[in-house]
Amino acid sequence: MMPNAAPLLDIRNLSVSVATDEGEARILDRASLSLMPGSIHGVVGESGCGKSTLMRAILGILPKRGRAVEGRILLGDRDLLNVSPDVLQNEIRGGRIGFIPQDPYQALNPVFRVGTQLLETTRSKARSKAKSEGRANGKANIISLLKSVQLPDPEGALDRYPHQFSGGQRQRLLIAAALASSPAIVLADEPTTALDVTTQLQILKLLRGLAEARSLSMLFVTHDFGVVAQLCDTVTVMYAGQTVESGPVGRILAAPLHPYTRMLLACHPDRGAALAGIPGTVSSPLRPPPGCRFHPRCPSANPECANALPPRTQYADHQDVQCLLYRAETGA
Amino acid sequence: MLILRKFLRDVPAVIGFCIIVLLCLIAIFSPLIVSDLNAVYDGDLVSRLQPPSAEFWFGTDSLGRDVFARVIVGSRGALEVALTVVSLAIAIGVPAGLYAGYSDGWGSQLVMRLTDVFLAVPQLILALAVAQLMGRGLGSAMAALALTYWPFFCRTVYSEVRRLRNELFIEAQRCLGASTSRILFVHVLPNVASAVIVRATIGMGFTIMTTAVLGFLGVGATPPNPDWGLAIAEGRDYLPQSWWAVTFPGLGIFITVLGFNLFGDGLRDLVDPRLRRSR
Amino acid sequence: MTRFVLHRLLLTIPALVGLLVLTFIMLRVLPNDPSAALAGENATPDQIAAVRKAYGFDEPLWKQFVIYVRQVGTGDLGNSIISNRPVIRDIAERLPATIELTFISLLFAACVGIPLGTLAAVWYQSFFDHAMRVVTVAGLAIASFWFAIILQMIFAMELDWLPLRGRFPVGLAAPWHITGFYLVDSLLTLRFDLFGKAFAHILMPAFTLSLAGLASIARFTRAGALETMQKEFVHYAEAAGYARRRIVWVYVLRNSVVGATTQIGLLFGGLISSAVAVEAIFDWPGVGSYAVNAILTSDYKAVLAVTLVVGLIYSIVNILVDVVHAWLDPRVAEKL
Repeated sequence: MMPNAAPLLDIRNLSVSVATDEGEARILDRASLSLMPGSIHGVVGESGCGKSTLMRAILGILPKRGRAVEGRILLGDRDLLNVSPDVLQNEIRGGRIGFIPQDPYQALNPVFRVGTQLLETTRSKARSKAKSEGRANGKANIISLLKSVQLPDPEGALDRYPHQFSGGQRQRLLIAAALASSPAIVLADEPTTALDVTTQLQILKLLRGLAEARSLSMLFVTHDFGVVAQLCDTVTVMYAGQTVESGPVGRILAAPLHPYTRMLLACHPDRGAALAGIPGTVSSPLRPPPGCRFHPRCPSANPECANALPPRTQYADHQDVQCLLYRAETGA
Repeated sequence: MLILRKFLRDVPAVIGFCIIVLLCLIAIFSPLIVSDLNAVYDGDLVSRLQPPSAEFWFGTDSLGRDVFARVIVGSRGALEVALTVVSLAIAIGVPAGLYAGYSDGWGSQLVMRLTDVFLAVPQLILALAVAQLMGRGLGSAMAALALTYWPFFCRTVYSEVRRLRNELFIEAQRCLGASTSRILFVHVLPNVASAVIVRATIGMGFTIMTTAVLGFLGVGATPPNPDWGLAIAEGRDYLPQSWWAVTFPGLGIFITVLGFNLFGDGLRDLVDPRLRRSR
Repeated sequence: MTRFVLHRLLLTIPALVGLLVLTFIMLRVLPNDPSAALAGENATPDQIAAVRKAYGFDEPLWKQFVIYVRQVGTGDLGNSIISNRPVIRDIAERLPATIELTFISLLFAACVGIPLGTLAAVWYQSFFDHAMRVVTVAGLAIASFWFAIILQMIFAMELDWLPLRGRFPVGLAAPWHITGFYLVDSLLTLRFDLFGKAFAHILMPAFTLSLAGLASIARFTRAGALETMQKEFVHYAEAAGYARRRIVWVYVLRNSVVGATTQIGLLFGGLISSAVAVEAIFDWPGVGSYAVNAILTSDYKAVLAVTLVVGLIYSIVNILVDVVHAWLDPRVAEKL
């Protein structure tokens, strides 16, 4: 990871609103995140903090009643929010950005063979090559990918149906699918949540190995800080649609800055002495608290926190925190 | 209140509801709308086959009867028959479904095999066979339709009860010592009721349609009943010149069935999206 | 897969047995003692008793039932009062006409209904979707017999574009009998002129019959497609970059059609029911018009025979539909 390189994916001040029967829900509030080349960047937060919406915004597949109301998603120098749907579908999704879904049991279509589905991402992209040549190449490519994800019997696997594989195997299939077009970036949406602990460890190791071997940059969404500790180089902590803290994993684990990060880490069974929790409940995106959304539950809150969103204080190595406690400090 | 607001947003369903309300009003107040009730049954042969005019809004049929009056009074008959049939079908089907769904063992199996038998033959054919047996006429047609429709209620209730039986709260009630009938009536029935209501609404439309077909074929209502199907059959011989005798009763069927279908659809979407697939 | 088929067949047998019992009850038990009628008006009690013995009406009911089942098994369903021929022959002669009509109707309904339903789901809540909803509901509310009459009035009586009734022009020899289906036979014998005539005759009845089917198919395709599009694998397909056209027309379509195949069985039943009225109106020489004639002339043996035959065919169709469903969705077969 080169210290002063430009980010591969740069999300700046992204706000996403979804229209519901009960009103406008502001799911993401001026969220910011930088993915550096060759790094595995974790996105961690409780359920409902907007992690999945963030990923859908990047891929351009927000729900029908949702839209980005402000901010930019820069891939290189292009703003993905301004790109045409055709480009998003043909070039970005399954092309430059790969996707690993959360639930391996639901993600694959049960009535189609696995091979048909895995080859789907490269089908539309291989338009320049001759169709038969592209198909043969695609198949060989997938088989070699299946080998690299350590799936037994790769050739036979293509002809089988999803329900004939275990959960862990299905997740490997999905990882191979994500890598089929040799993307530079891979988005992983809690890919180990639905698996048992042993399989989880295997998949995490596999992902780490693949990322290093292929110089992938990965955005890894999870609610488990333990996974972040094992897998990620850098991390962003999210709360209620706001990105409250970012930075190298080691530093954040050793010395978390934001009060929410501190309490979140204290909750983890390995770290907290007693079984700690965070008092209060997450606010609803329909009626969010003004300013910093964590202030109703924050032990260090003061009246100013509700006035406006705190400025982001930058530190070295792309570490930053969004909290009034650090307002006076300047970055090194 | 949220449900009401959601329902109001479903425009076709609201239209259906309005149609049904209008229909009920017409049926109830038909003596007031139709000035001369005799015109429905006795015709003045002098004025037979008159096209629609200011005096006869829908024209007259081959016996000189006022088509408008016949269509209006026919609506009452259609609603009465449909209500009777659906009520009968519910009276047979729902208890059967409750029993079959809640208990195991051969009694439950017997009931379900019985529904299989009645569902093995398309409804109209079975209705024809039963009508053949009981003699032609509106009464036997109604009995036949009820006999062919109860399996649908039984099946719906059966699957709902089966689904609920495995739910945790029923288990909890059992553990707390609630009796079977209490469980059935207090806990199961309210949950099943919505499915039954949806099917009943759709069943109303379907019954009106099938009654009309039977009337048309000469197996249901008999003259001088202003049944819409029968009226179409009677008016058929005078086509294409006297198109009104056939068109207006047909429109009556169309609007009525449409109303029930639209409303039933809306109810179904509201109550349980899972039911969307069945008839 | 074979296990599934066998299992499915096994499930049908009780229903068919039940149907036999039902028709038996309608035939023997409920009508009054037929021996008196058969013996004649002025028969003495002895003569009536003799008739009863000759016909086996004095045997215990279960024995009569066994005889009945044997009769049905060998195809002896009695003679028609009208034609005085075995009912089974009447039905066998008229079956191809009904099958041809229902098949063409179903084909048309599926070919038009499935794409329409899928499009309505893809363009959810658009004007097209709303219009489709109204049109399909309307299609189900139109009485088929009424629609048939209106079509006749316009296209046959007023415009004289299409023939009023019948399966084939009167006086013209039907295509050489190979399958019994005029459309197929005329093509097989390369008589394209006869094909044209047969087609003109089948057009209005088939269109009338297909209306309710089309509306039904469009509706449940739309519902199925909507439900499928909510599923995780569609979200994944989108996120992973599948081509949109393929997502809809290959993946969503297949899943929603798979779920809908079981509905086609129900549809077929409705089709047969509607065919009765439509055949009667267009003088289509099929089983439906036969049933109507039988009922109006109290030819009760014929009515019950039709009930049995239609019930059997309907059950077979349902089994076929389930088998196709299992073939399309491999999980269904494995569930057993």
